[in-house]
Amino acid sequence: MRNLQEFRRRIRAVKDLIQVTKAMKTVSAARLRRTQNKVINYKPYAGKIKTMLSELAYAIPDAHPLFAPTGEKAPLLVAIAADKGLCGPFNYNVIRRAQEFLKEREGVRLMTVGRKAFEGLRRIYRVERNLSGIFQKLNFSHAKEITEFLLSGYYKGEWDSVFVLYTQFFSVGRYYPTVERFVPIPPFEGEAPREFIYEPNLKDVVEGLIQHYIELEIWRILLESSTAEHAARMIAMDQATRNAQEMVRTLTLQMNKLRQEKITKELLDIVTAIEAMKKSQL
Amino acid sequence: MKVSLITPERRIFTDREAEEVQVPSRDGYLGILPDHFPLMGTLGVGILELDGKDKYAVEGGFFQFERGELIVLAKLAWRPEELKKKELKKEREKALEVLRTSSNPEEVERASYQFTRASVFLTLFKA
Repeated sequence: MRNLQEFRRRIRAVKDLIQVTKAMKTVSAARLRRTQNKVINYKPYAGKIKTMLSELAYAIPDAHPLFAPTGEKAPLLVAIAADKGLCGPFNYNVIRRAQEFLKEREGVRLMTVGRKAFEGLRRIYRVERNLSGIFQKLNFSHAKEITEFLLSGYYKGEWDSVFVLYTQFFSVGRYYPTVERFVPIPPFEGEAPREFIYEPNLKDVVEGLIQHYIELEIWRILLESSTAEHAARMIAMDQATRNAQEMVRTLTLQMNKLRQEKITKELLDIVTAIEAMKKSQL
Repeated sequence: MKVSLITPERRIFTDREAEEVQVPSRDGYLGILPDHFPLMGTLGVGILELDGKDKYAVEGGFFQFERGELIVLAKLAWRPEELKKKELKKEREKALEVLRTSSNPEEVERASYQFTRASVFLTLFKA
């Protein structure tokens, strides 16, 4: 970069980039607010459904095959990341955690959710099933689809436990990948009644509750992962904006220096010329 | 007893005191008094009623009563003022029209559900 024009072109390019990163940050911030509220409002309901189900498992341990403890000899791992990149270490963290899980255990079957999870893991492990392109327009039917897959395999005996790996969201600056065991469902810890009246009957209550609980938990996890993704992208884009602004500053400084040098040189030429003319006149 | 009504989107109310509660279970209304035996059930579509006064429309979900606490976990729930009489009437008429004309069993089933739902929720508006 020796001439001024080249400097100007580069500064303009970086400024355009800033516009893009700023816009992406704004979009992520808006999406973050929306999903974050959903996750927060949902928590009391989810907690109560879980308690109810675990009390049922405590009252009648053999009411449903999902209550029976198993050896976790053939686990299914559902790894959830984003469909898109540009969100800092978000996807990488999930993939790395999945690699650890696959190393720790044997005979793991793998399902991925989100294009980046699929692309990151298919090179190192056999992906049984993948669900991609859902986060742009997340809806409850996606949760139903995942639930159906993990329950049908469980009932067929293809796996004896289900683990879900996703990014837990605490606040804009705090989100970590975590592995949650999904099924079997552990019984309630503590004092609970041993007997209930079931309305209309035990079978309907158990099956209805389990289906509802798993669908809602998967839904909650998809929302939470998507919230964390928006937070991660917002931070990544903020950082990118700052870096680009810093670059504009440096480039402008260099350009000014170059321009100053040029002016000095030109002045020098003029002064020399004048001096030479004076001498010749004498 | 203490009563709570919670949906996935919001808490309609929590820990409200009541002496008698009518719960619309899937197979009909259940009256619950403070000394009721522990109970778990599936929620139908209908009106949750506290002491014959406070009424709420609920649709689907579960409920549990134990140790003096009734928790209603509804998939959907509304306060009466959140429902619109006009819309419910329109829904009921539409369902009735389908019931009169259609012979598709799936359509008939859906319409009869819609008809029941609208009719039950409309009872909230009678004085």
